[in-house]
Amino acid sequence: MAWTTPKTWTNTGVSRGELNTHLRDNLLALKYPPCAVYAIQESSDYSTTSTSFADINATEGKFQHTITTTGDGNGGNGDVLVTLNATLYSATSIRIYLRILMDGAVQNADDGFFVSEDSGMRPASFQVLIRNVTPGSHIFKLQWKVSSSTGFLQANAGTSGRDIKGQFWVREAS
Amino acid sequence: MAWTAPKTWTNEPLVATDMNTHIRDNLLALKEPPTGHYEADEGSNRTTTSTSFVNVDASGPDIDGIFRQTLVTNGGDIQIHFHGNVHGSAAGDMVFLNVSMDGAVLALNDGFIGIICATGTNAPPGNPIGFTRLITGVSAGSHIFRLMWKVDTGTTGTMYTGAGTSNGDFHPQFWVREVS
Repeated sequence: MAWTTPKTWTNTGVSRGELNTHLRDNLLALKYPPCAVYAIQESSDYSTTSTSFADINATEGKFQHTITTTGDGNGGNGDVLVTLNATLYSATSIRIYLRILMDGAVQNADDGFFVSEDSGMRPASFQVLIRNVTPGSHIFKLQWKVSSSTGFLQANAGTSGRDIKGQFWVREAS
Repeated sequence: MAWTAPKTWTNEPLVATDMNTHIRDNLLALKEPPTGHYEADEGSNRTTTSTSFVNVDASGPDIDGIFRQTLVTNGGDIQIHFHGNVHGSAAGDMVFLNVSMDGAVLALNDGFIGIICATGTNAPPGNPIGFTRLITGVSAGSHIFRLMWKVDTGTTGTMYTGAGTSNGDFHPQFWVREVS
């Protein structure tokens, strides 16, 4: 449901159109904010050998989500939550880095906002709050790189002992 | 406060009951959604040797408000969160986490998230592990959410739950909240 900047009421009659727009529709907009979810389930786990940041999977609805945000409700900018709940793996001790792009712009410079250094299976869970997001359509993407060798992100692909179903979601928070 | 689908207004007088139900009560429902929250501070840490998913509170107490949360929801999306520290009994041991809703696991196979305990971490402070999961389209009504875990064969998994373990006196958090 679209959000409409709440009316400033004056000493005038109230019309049904205004009540529907400013009460009914805005309540629904708060109850059901823009949101996109990817339940990570593929026929094979994701893998990379790239030592520079690259898309994990830029297919819309996977590690790329487009949502249309409404801002702060009063014509200004708002906040978006980007959440990953996943499991990484590498056969040897390497670093796996993650970062987020919004509309092609890197949100976390340098080596990103998350790094995991280890061998074997380990969790990668975070929630990032992106502030000052203008109202409108925005594309959020997750990228990764490794320090060396091959890094994996488990995709519920049937890999024995690592058959894990992660999640990547984006949601307007305000 | 219960949520009521907002009224479609027509050419009619505004009455107090409508204003209270559709404006006052709905605003309160948005401001204070159904939430269940637990921060562990227990007398002993949790352990398991189960290689299939079992409730974290399988050893008791099996009561609401701990690693079991019952929410009466209005219909919509639920956010589930856990963070804590775990370890196995030896390097290479695995610990996996999952959640059940109304008795059904939310992720099959190896669950939501897993970890292989590396050398040197099979003692305090162990390994951090956590997730924040969004469950969409949950029907209105009462729902029971339970944190579950399992380990691989031969492992004794430990979850620190604020039991006073030196260098492992962590207080994990498990919460469930309706977000739409």
